[in-house]
Amino acid sequence: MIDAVVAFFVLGILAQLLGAKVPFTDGLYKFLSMFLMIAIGLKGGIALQQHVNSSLLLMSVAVVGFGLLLPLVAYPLLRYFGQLDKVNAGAIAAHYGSVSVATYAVAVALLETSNIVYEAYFPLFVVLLEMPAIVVGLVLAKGNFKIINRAFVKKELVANQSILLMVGSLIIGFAGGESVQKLTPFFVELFPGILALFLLKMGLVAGAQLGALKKNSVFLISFAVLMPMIGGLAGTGLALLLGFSAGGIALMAVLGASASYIAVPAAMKEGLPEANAGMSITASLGITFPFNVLINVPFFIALGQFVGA
Amino acid sequence: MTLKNLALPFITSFCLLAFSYFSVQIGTSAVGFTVLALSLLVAAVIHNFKASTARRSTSYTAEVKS
Repeated sequence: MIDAVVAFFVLGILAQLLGAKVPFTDGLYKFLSMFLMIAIGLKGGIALQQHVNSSLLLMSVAVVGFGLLLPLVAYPLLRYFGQLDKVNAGAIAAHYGSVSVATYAVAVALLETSNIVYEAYFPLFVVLLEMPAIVVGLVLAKGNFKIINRAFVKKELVANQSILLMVGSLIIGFAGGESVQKLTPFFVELFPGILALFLLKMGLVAGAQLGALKKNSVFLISFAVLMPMIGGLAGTGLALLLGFSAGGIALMAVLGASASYIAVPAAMKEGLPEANAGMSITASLGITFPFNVLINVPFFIALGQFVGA
Repeated sequence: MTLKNLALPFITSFCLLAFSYFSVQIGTSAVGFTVLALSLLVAAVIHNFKASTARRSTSYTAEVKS
């Protein structure tokens, strides 16, 4: 049976397809996404208070390596099968190497509903996986490293809302001690309800993207379905190597399977303005996000339990 | 649409079917993967058929005109 939180995503798609007018202002959408980022960071920070250890550094290096590798898998598929030019292949590859905070939030909600434990430091990995793919995508598109200068990195780190909010709230959750408990009724207990509202909006957006699919080739749909499966399996393999729990294996797979639709489009708009942004967003938000939320996440949770047992 | 264009939909459908098989093995629902695999296969074949028909009619029109 479908999870109640995920059901709101389906409701959003149906509402959009039926042409229903659901009033959802941009301000509310921004508030909900900000809430999710702060809540994920804060929860991770609180949990890190008890779990921080030296092996975390080694794991972080492996996770960054994973983030560098994923666009290198996506790029040849886009170039060879899709016959896309370097710029568009690089831009889409960056989307698929980076992560979706919303997909991660859905996986966390499903794990918590099923009482499956996972490693507390995963919000750190979410943050670490945001940037490497952007760098690789830009290098692949431009064919050189000139674009990756100090100004670009500084701008990306400061202007990237998700990195700033998640790292900031992770530090607050970690360093805040007992005082952070005051925030938990709002950021932790309300998390599933806010996520349901956010998914309703995402359903409306994904439903609107489905219209754009008619204009796109079968190739784009195939790629947007195949890449999450490859990334998810690679994530499962990495999690097994790092010795994660069943929940950790599922989350690493979900991070590998997800594609960015907030942080990377903003970075590509800046770094690769000539790339076709519509194609990337249609693939990541119109195809990969619904595929992950409805089919892939439950599969990788079951797979995590199976291989992690 | 050439055979190269059909390759990725076919690979993806094959992977989806493999995932649906694994889903059954690990005790979770395989319906989503199976439906998606079959839909993608059908869509790819129809797309290929339409593209080749359009190409043939274009070349026939060009021949008649010449």
